Amino acid sequence: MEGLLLGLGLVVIITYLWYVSLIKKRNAVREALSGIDVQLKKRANLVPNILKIAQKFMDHEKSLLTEITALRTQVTAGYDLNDADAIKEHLGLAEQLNNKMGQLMVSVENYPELKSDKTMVQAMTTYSEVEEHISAARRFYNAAVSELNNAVEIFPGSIIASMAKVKVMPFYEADEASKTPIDASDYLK
Amino acid sequence: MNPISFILGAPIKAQRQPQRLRAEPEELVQFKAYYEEHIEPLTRKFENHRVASLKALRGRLYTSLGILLGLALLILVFSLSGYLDIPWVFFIVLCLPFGWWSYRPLKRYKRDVKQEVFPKIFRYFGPDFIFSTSHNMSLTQLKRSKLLPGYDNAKFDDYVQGTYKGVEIAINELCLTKQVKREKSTETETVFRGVMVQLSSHKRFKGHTVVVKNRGGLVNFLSSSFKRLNRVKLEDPRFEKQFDVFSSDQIEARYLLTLGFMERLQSLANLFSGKIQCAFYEDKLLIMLQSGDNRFELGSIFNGATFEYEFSQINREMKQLFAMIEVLKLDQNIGF
Repeated sequence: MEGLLLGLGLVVIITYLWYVSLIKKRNAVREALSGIDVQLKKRANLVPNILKIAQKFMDHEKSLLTEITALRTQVTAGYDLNDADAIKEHLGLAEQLNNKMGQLMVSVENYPELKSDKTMVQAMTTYSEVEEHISAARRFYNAAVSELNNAVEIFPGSIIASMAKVKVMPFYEADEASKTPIDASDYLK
Repeated sequence: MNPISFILGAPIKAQRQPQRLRAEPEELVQFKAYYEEHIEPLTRKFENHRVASLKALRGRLYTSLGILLGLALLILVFSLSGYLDIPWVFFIVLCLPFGWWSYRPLKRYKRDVKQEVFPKIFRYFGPDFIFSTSHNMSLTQLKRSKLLPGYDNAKFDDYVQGTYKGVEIAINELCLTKQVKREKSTETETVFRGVMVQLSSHKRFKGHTVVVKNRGGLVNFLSSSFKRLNRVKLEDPRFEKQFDVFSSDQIEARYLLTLGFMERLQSLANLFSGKIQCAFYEDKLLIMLQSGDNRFELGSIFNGATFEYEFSQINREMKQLFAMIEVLKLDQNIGF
């Protein structure tokens, strides 16, 4: 009887420690996610300034500028931190904005006046600084998600996770367009 | 001349014949021109100084030897006749002040070279370069890096400061020792000997990040912190095998330690046999290079005071340090 109680006590302790570790991992992901949001907010604050300068020179890129404005609004809108799908959508939109901003930066090359504009140069430098921070925040987030997902999906963690309602979280993945291999021949025609 | 022929009384003559300046072929012309303009004019004065120091050293050595032999003879006579019973350790202790007295002219010569010639040598690397034996880094600031091991005594040696490709550099030799209690005695153990390199950074940061030698799997399993900094797990398994990273800011640590920087730090570690640790704090990058070599030193006293050896040697050592800036790309305004 004593042995059984001892065994049961041990199981309870181990389960509790496992639960604690799962919750810590989930909180680490949330912390990393808030780190991403801080950086995304910085970028969102920077985008209007860049667009304001760009609008003066870039007559032929109106649709791109409109798209960026719309995406910025979507990215800055709130989302449910407990909903994995909402997080995935939010991160997806952030990556789309990143992609469009990348396109804008490439287009700037076609406008020498804009390229040499002092305010634009400064804005672009700050933007690339923020991009570096976003990239760092993404690495932290993905590392935290990887640890959480492993803990949630591997038995017996999966049982404790389902009891504690801890779910797998989505990775912050690079945009599909930036993952596609580049065909150099397209540029050498 | 060598130490034995010197003691045996070989004539001490001024040596005017030049040795050879050594530098990379592409910089040799500029290197020679600088030497001829700034260092060569000092050589005559210092060669006379060197000869005088050697003569004084030998004179004092002979005098000391004579006195010590006389004393030894007296002690022996009195010991044999039973009037005196002095332990031989006393005789060794007696040698110390004579040794100190004999060495003084040489010490003065070395000090003068470091005060007058070395600053000129270092100005070759840039007009703002200074060399000093009295300056040193702030120990309190170094302690705040969280890299220093536990120590009881810190001794700084040569200090160099300047700017290379827009990066502010400060180099200081440092030796840290600790008193260790053994069974019967207390011994002084060296816990660190090497060079501290402080570099300015174009990246701004608020947190504190350290890259230390891998502590081993068991220690990391038992503890995920280091001096109140949290462990940062990075993506590069080769880097993780060699180093452990701890930071007060997980995102900032990854912002500073990009994949490129990690690779560059690894190649640097290979250059210095892995004995490298660094810390990003207070807007500076501090690199701690463990090495038994005594840098920025004078060559043999028995060679003429042409300072060609010293100039070539210091140039080689400084180029190694500049290579670090280039390897780490600290001079470029891009991500580390």
